Amino acid sequence: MKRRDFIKLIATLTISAPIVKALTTQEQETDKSYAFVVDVNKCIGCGNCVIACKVENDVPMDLPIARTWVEGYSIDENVPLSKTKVQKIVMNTAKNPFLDKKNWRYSKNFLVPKLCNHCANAPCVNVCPVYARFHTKEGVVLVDKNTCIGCKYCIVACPYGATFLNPEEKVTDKCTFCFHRITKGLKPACVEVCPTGARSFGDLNDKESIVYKILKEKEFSVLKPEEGTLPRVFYLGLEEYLVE
Amino acid sequence: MNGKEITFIVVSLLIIFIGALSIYQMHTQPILPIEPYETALGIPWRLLVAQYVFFAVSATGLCIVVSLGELFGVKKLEKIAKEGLVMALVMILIGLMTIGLEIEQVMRGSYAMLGHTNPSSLMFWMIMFYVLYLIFLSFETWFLLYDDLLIQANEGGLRSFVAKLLTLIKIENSKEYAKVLGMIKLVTAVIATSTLGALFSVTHLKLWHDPLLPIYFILTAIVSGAALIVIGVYLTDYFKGLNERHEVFQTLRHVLVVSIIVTILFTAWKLIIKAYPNSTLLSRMAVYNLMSDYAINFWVFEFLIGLILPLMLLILPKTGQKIEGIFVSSLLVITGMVFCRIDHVVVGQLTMKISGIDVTFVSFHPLEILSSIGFVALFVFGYYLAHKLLPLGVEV
Repeated sequence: MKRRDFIKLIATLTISAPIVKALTTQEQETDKSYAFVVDVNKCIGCGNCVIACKVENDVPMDLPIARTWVEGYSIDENVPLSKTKVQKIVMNTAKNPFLDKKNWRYSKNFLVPKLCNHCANAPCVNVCPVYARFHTKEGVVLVDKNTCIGCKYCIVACPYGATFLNPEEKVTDKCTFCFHRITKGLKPACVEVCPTGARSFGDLNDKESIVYKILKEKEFSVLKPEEGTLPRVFYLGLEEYLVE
Repeated sequence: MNGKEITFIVVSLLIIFIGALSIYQMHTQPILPIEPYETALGIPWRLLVAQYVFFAVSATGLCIVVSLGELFGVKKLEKIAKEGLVMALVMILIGLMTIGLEIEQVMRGSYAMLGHTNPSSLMFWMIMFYVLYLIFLSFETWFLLYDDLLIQANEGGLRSFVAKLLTLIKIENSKEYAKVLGMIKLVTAVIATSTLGALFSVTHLKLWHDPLLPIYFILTAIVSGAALIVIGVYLTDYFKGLNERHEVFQTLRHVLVVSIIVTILFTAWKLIIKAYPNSTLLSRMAVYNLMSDYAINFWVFEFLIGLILPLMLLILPKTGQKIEGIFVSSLLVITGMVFCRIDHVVVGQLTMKISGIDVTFVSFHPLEILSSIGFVALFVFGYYLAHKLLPLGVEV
């Protein structure tokens, strides 16, 4: 084969490869695009979501690791902005610290439930060396626990602290929007048990879904927009400048 | 083999055994209950990752320093090429072993070998380049030692057996091959180490998020590589009762001085820029963590003991012109470099909040420390064995 022919062959193969792939791959296209909405003003800090999630997904109950957790913020409003005092309390086990009044030190208090943001540009997916993290067609970020090598790079890369090492399974773990439930038409466990409806879940492409209606009507924000991760978890009433 | 040597072997093997037990305990917990100190109670990348960074970066540094003599015509450093390469080989082997045993499910690495890899992950590229580096380095060392191995094969005993084993395949012009491979290996080593730096750079953590971090890693590689080869050569000559390589030490002194000065400048500007009031709050917090909570680590060990003090010792003619002065400086530099890696890896993660938990100070688990000491002992013992079995031109 002459050099010119060889180069031609390489060029033809390079151009035709994606076309061949597109013709041969028969991926089932989905019309679903899941999203999660948290209404900060509705959260009362009961902690049902944390416990339900741990029970549903076999996360050790007494260890301070959780797929979803609630952060409580207590702020002294009576001082200048430059001297603002913020007290942060976290519920990530069955023990509820919000019930203790001593933890609410200042005048203004609010609660922020947190979970994996299922980012469209997910840092954990980008850095995983073995493709153990991936996006489903519906936009959910999942962990393949049989492939994860436990290098913990995803934990380091996540700007939200939403992923952790499961000490019993020795692989990384995080919220999956209860993928095993939502694929059966059920709600995620945390949404199911929330008594005030602070957590909503649904399909953004379904105009009848609750998340579609909320996001269309109300002003929303996301955590750490500066990271450019394009989260799928949206917040209503979030005090962005105070929440970590 | 004298009494001191036997004591050295027994103590080394004992420390290695304790280190191995610690690693086993960390992964399987047969004695104590599950203790997730690596998760929300602390930070995910800990002492062993810092140690891996130290080993991997230092191995590259050794190759860079050796290549000055081997490839770039610095004649005075040609004498340390074999020792430097063997030290780098032992170091990278132990380094890869450290990270392999730190990873929770290392056996699943076989998936990666079968092609289940993510090319957008810098960790994948780092592993690939370090494995390539290890292969090139092994072959280069073999080619470089080949002629001496042929001579050693006639000596008799275990050394002869090893030499015969390594010369089963007959090759000619081995030195030429070594030179070509040396160049390829040097390029691979530099790419591997800069990828390791980039692996940290691409995260959101402010102490790491820095486009110059890969360059900083290569720079500090030269510092630790030069210091390590000084320590290795000094101890070898000391036990052999020789004092013939004064010129080598002086050349390494110059390498150390230049690289330490550039490192001081680099570190100072890096931290000043990150701590400047116009930088983001998280960036300033990251530097604050280093300067306050880890002040002793940074100011005393990393900066004063690791950079300033050795620089002064090297510059001053009274100490710098003496081999002992250069050796002590190198010991100080290595101490500083160990703390530099710990500070980089550990303090860099302090702004993380896994499951909402704030981490302000990290204390190391005794098992981590024991396993870490075990790996150091394994390196020292490995280097000793290499001296015993390979024709490095000197016998311990």
